[in-house]
Amino acid sequence: MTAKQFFKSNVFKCLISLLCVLLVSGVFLAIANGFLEVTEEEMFKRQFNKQVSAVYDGRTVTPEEKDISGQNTALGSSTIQKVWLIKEENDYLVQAEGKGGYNGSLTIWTIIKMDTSLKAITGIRAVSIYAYPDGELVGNISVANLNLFAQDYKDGIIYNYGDKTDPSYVQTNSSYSFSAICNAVNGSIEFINAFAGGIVKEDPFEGFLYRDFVNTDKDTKYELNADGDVVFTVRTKANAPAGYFTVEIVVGTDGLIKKYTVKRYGSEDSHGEDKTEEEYNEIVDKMILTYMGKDLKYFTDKLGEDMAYPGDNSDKFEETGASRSNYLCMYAGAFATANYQKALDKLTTDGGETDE
Amino acid sequence: MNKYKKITLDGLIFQNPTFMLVLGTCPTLAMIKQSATSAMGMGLTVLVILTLSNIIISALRKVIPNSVRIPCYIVIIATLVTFVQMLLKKFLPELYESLGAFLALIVVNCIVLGRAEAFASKHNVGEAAVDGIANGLGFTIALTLMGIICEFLGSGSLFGLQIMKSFKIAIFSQPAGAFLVYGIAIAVFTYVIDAFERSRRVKANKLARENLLKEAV
Amino acid sequence: MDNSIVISTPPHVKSKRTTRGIMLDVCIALAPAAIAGCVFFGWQALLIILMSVFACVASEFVYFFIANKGFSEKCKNAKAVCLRWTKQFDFTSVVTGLILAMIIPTTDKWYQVLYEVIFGAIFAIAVVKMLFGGTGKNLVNPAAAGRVFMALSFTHIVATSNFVGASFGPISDSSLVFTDATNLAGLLTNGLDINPSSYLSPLDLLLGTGVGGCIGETCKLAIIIGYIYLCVRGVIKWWQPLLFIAVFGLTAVLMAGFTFDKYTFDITLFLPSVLSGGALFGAVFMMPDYVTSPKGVWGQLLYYVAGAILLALLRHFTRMEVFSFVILLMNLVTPLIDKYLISRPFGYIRQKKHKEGK
Repeated sequence: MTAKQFFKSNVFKCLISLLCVLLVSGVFLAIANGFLEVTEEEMFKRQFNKQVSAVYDGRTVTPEEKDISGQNTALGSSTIQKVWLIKEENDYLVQAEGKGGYNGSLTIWTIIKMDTSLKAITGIRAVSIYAYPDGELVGNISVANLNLFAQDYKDGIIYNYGDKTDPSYVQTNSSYSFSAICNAVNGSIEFINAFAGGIVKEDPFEGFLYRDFVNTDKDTKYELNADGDVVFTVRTKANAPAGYFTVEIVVGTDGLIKKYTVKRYGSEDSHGEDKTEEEYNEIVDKMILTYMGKDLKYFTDKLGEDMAYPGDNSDKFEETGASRSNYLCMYAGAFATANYQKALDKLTTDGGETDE
Repeated sequence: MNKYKKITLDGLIFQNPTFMLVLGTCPTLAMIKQSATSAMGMGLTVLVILTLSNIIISALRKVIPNSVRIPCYIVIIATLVTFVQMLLKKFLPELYESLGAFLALIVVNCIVLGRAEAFASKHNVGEAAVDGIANGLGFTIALTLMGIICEFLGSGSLFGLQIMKSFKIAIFSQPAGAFLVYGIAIAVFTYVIDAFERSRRVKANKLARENLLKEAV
Repeated sequence: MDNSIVISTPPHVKSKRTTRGIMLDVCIALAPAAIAGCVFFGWQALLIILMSVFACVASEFVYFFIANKGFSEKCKNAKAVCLRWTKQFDFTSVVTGLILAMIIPTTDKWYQVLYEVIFGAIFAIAVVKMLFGGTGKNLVNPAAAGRVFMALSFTHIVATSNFVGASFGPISDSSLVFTDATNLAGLLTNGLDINPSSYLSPLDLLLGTGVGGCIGETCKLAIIIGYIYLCVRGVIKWWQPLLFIAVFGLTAVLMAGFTFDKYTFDITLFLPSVLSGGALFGAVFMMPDYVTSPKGVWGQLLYYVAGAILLALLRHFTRMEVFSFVILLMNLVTPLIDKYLISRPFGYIRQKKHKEGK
């Protein structure tokens, strides 16, 4: 069709009207956005006023952001994002991300009370949830739950409210989210201790070898006994179907295993093999007798430097019919003998027991 | 005047978008299980958007050609929703947070598009505005009522005020309970309207009969 | 005289069976399990059973009263409506009340369970049964639906214990009498870092001694007695629960063998899987319900096999007692099964090959 026909046709009218509507809408929205945009600063101010000012009973407070670029902000299960100093109240406001939530990490604001010299933590004033991933059930965590942090604060405390196996477990129906919050608060405390007070939390197992199958978060510890030997209490992880073993290994001054006792047999959890629990334990006991007087070389000779699990019926280590349980016991032995010197150093320089 | 009264009554009661036309059920179910305040907030937001969109579309009804009317309506409604979203985020952040993702869903809310298509494109601006307000109010009232029931049964509170401390039937804070309440509410509402219409018809019949008798005499 | 045409007045097929009779039979069959429940769980269990039955019957009565205009004209018809209700009262709501009571656990907060069971009963009767049309027209099993309603609303009925397996039915630490982990919990949480109490012997499970759980489902012997009674009286077909239990047990054993990286087929797990939790109770009393199960033989076969496999799979993967949910699911699929698996028309008698007189 000719140009004139085109301009009169329906198609053209449709196109024009659609374009006009789009244009007008776009311009309108752009203008509106210019006026109504909410900046990052304003978001922060709004959140701050909503979540924090209530804590201060309406006293005016001005947060001053602190530069934490040089610090270690990645602490295990939490990452510190921002720190503000609230000068009027001698408080630090820490924005930390706690890992382990149901759908990701939660961002938590913790207000930490400091003493007048701003070096030591005197307590926690309040904890609030700043942001959470979609679908996280933070509605189940009540204000009372969050107030537990302020109430229960003691020096050196590590919060474990979301851990079902911990005696301080608090039922919320959102235990993953609660664990993430605990992680964030613990991380905030640890960070402020380092940042303000210069106290660095020591990892008792820093530099230790063979930690893969050892549960360093729970029950594992080492101490000096009267003879000057290092007594390792090792709680291994489970190696299904074998459950976790808790063993006590005494390593003498020559670096050799002096005594090896099993406190808890992991075979209690296993079934499915054609042996009973007693038969497994017997096999484990027999194998343990062969570990007496051995050092690290004995274990690494059998399984290699990395002490990797060679498989159920591998010819790398003795077939016993209780391969996984034995592996855990050997691993614990390797752990004790390999780290004997380091543990001894730590114990003698710290001058006392170190435990988790 | 009668025309406006009819439009208002239709929007509010006899053609109530939630109970009679069963439109816009998605935001209904989502909001009533949260709380009565969020239900009311959603209703009022839809009211504003519905009225504005009705007015604009009615004003443009002669200009937009028939074949592109749906895309144009959608663009207009989307613009309005975005604008309202910006307004809420700036001035009413609690409402913005409680509406969450459902604020954006108002673009495809059947009530808004349905009224635009069925009513606003065929009537003048005044009537369209009244229709928008009436339907919006009907939606709001329906949502608020159901929200009150769900909130009271589900968490024992009323608009945030905790009335019953420990008595909760938790299923009413979940979509299943919201569905139940919605269904039963439609049944009750329809029953009431039916009874009302029946009595009106009975009265009208009686009147007509009397008139007939009078004429015969 | 041609004798091939028979003239008679209707009804042409007579039977002595009535709905009331069948329901009374079911009540009698439930009695051993109820008594066993009261013996194990104390007088609180009896109270809950009574309250549940009362609430069910009351809600049916109230619904009937309102629906039949008992309230109109200032209760003029009240007496007539009441009489009409008693005349048409078939004991279906009593049975629903009994079953509902028997699949909830008593806890140490038994008074709370009392008022929660009222809500469950109201939901089960008024919403699931009466709103859909009354006896014979409910879409799902009312007791199962009531149980699910209670489980979703009152979270302490779903046990909040440390054992992942002990929820929705068997309760471990708040069970009134028994404080050990339930056997179902232990069975389902194998391999985790918990030390389950040693599995109860099948005899213990059979008799229900030392087992934590819901009121009616612990004493399997009583349920078996009820099953035999129902078969003798012809209320349910004998093969239905048996097929269900057999398929369920096999599937459960198959699934349990998948643990760890070695596949072990441990047939000795068959009895504990079958005798733990509410499987036996549901298989005898809730699955063969006439209204909510398919009508034809092939449909019923499919129904039971599918239900059993589904229950075993869900129990294995969710580690919870999910039988009420499975019943609801299968009930919802029943109309589909009915539509596509053609059954015999009602009253059809297959013609014998050799006709008499020829």
